[in-house]
Amino acid sequence: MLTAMIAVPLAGAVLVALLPRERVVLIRRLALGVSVVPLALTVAVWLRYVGGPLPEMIESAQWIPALGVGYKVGVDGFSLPLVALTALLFPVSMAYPLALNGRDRAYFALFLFLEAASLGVFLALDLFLFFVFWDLSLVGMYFVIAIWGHGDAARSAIKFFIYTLTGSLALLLAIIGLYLATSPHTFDMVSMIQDPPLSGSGLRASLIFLAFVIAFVIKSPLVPLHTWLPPAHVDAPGPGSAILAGVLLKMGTYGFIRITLQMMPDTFRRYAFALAVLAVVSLLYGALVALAQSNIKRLIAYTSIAHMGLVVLGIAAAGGVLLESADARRIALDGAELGMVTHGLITGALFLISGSLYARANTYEMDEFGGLAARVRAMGLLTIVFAFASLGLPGLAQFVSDVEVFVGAFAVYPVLVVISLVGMVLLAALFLRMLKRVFLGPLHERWQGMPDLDATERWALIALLVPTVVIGVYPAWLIDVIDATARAVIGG
Amino acid sequence: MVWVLVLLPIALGLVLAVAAPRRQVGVAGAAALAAVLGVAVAAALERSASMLAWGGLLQLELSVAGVSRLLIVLVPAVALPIVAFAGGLYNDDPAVRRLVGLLVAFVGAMELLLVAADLLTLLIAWELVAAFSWVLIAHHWREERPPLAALEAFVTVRFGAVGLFVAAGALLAGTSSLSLAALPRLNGSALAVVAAGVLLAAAAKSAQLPFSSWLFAAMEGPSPVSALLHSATMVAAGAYVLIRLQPSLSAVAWFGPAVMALGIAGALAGGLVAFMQTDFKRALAASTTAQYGLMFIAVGAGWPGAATAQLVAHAFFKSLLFLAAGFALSLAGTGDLGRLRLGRRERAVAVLTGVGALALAAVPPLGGAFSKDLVLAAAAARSSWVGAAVLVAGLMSGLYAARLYVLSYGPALWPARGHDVPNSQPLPGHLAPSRTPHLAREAEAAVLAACTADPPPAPPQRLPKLAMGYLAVLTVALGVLGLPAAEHLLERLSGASLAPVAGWQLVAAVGSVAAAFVIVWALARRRVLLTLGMQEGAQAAFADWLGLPVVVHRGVAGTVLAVARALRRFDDHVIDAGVWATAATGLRAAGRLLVFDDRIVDAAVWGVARFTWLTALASRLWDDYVIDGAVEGLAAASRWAGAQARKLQNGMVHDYYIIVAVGVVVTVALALRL
Repeated sequence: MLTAMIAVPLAGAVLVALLPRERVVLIRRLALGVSVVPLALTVAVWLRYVGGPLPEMIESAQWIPALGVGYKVGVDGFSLPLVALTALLFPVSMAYPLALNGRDRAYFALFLFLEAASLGVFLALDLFLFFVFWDLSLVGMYFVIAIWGHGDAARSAIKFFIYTLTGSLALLLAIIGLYLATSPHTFDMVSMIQDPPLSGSGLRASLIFLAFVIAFVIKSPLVPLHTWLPPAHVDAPGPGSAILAGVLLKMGTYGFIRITLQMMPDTFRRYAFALAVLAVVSLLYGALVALAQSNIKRLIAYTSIAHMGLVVLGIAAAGGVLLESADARRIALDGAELGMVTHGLITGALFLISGSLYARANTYEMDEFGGLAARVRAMGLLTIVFAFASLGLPGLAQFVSDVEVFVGAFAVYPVLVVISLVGMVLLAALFLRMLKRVFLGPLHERWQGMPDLDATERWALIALLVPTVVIGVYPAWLIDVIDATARAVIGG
Repeated sequence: MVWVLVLLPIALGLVLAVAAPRRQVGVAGAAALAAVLGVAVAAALERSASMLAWGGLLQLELSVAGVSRLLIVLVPAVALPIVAFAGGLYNDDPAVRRLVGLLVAFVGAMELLLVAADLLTLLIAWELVAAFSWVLIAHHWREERPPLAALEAFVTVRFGAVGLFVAAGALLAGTSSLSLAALPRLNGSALAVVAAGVLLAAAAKSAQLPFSSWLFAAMEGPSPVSALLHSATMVAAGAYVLIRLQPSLSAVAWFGPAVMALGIAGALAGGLVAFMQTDFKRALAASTTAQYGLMFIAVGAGWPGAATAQLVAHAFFKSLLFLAAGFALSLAGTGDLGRLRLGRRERAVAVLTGVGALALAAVPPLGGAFSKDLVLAAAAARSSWVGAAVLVAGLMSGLYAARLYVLSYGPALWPARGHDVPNSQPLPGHLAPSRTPHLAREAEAAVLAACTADPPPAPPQRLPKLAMGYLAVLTVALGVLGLPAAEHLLERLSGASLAPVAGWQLVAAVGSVAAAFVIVWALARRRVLLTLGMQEGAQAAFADWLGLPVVVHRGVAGTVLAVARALRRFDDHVIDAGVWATAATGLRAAGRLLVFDDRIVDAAVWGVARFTWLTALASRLWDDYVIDGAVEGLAAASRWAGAQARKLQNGMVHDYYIIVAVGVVVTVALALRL
């Protein structure tokens, strides 16, 4: 079943690529139909998922036995929520209207390919397989930005590519380093989690850890390796940004949990405080720089950096000490994992909305707008809801993860948490300011004729709004899945 | 039952906002709140409690116990007339349904805050209350100012909420629980952290110094919104949480003195500002800070029961006074105290307002007087200095209450500065520039009416007057607070005893009020009641929180924005370029390392990679630093370099993937591009 999640969109991509270029409607329908399959499969998997300490529903096959490389996929409490997020965000983003300049076939084929690769990253239980999918997703996103982007898209795409390729190189080196430390040599992630290689050893473990951190800091991204993100987001098409923020960034934070925390717990503990400082710097720095932006998409991009900082703070706190305050650390880890899902839903929606705004106004400059809610009511209302979600309003998803990270991490790093809470105030200020500048106040005459969101856009955003509200009001069904695995990691 | 109490108003409010009959929206809203009131009484009687697992180790605990048994009934009881008033007075406003619906839903958020028995639930309710305030203050969102005012209120209160996050973190770290019942298990320093966090949150919510100025900004909202915010919801939340947690937090040595100090500062400064103000609603807003300051003093002195009495009495008379302000605004089109004096024109409303003003001034036998006596007794029991401060605060409340009443609904005997004709019949000409630029929104309707028709049409009055009458009756009825039976009830509910009121305290309290009235009468006789004989500039500075808003806007917000802008430039120019330079160097080094490892890569690939990096870096630096007046030749070179970078980049991907043995899949990817 898990293999089908990867194989179906991949096959769909090939199928779409083989269709005649002119059959635009058929291409779109087929691609959307295929993209929904992983979502249906996720529901089935979720219902069958038990929630033990180890990955479940494992499917494996031999690949290169001589090197210990295998094909192995499975789900646990860390991957299943991200698989669900990916499976939801792809159909929504693909359905979202975008001017494709006649290259519909390539667009949908590429998105299906990207969906397969992204699901593969989260499902993989073999480091080599993980790396392959990781890099494939990078290639797919490069083309999405370069071909369907606007502004200086080619340059932003190159920048994105060079940055993340550097991360990939670091990741590859680190994976090989970790691989060489196993005996017998294997890339199997489950065995590395159960019996972490390199426990307690010195320089070698530190260097490998550093390489992983570089890879994941670039991908997440955290300050100071974040400068690829704003141009990539600004020049990417709306749906591309949604996938980039909603799915691809999560690979970095997922890597922090899956690899550095689970496979190198001793090394992680040694450097957890440094990582936490980096996370807090990212949170505050991202929020402050976002506050000063005049471009709405850049603003959202920088809030992403802030939110990812919060996620990493939760992870760092969870692995920061041994034995002590196990309950609080579990809550922090639950919150970090949940934060990936909530950020994906909410920021994904905000990027889709900014894509709609650009399609209507051909600009992202907030000062050129004003009072839009009088004209585009649905867009205004949805933006208000998602902006409040992003600044952490209770009743909406982000609050739950925010509060878990802050409250849980306090037990480990009280001072850092107090500092990072200032970021919450900044996020509130910058989102409310954005709402004021774009949607509230007197209507700017230039936008008297702006059309409101069409039916497709509304339904796509509602598809993201529903889980945002459900998680915000009653998150137990999701937290319990995460918590079963988090408990195994933290102990207690 | 306790969940119904929270969810019923929210559900009814949402229904009302979209589907209420517009003509009868006030009645519909009042009916909805009557139902909520019934649920509240039932929940208070059965002391219902409930728990909901929220996933992992989180759970939401709700319980109706102690002082919240009283307050869950108070909130809908006060909100009911406010909603009726809003629906009645703004019948013509197309957005009246949204206003009424949100006011009703707001009650649900506040009920959640009152029944929260753990810090997570409290935090949820705390932020929800702030969000409702944002929507309500920004009710007139098509205008320039209200959204900004709503922003200021939300961000100020969010700053306070940081304290609750910290308190929750400290409680969890110390006890592995977020339940308020776990507070006593906390050790000294952790409890001190909780106390500091709670105090920060409460001070911001209750608009004590230095957070007071958000209340002025919040005056951009319609008057009924202010009535609800100040009496029973947003501002009340701060005092409530202190009352509720005082028994646990009083173990922290500095907690009581700190709360008292904040309260004294708020009571005195708020009183001064209220006395100086020349705008009806702003004077009321400043008096809110002063009155909540008294509650803080009582809590700090260790007598939360007295604070509860003050909270209840204040809820009724302050909402009454804000409704009176709303009525005046829609009648006269201005909140400028120099232009009102509506006493002759609206005798009935003047009488009702008078009841509210007397309660605010603490004239016996109104409830407001007895609650202030309890606060005075509590303060005096702690220290005679604190008692003296409360007496001064009492004198000031007498001063501002009397002045406010005379200037707003008083008889038109003494013309104000610059006006030789009393404003019993407002003329369109009077609606022109006012001394206070922040005219409240009710002015709009009146201005429009004045421009289009000859006599301004009177606003719909039956329901609004009925609502004010209800509040006035309850304000009078609260005189029962003076009875021993009521004191016993209060003691039982708050679980703390009340300080006995000494005879000299009663005399001193009544004396200070009487002195205040004499002073106001004397000022009125000398026709300086409005200006107080001060220079306009000096009075305006005093009245605007002695410049506090300027400090908040320019000092805090301005500094943060300046830092943010500087960081943005830093980010665009320094970090970006720095990373590229470092990366190029690092990659060169890595390239050398890898040269030895021909399993992974060979020297040729890295030569290409290095060249790519350098050209990419060159084009990047070019763009950042040489923008204007570019030499044509260099531009061409840059374009060439960019093109090279792209070409070489693709080659590099290709090589790279062949080497890592996934070239096959990449070919698929490249094929898809075609």
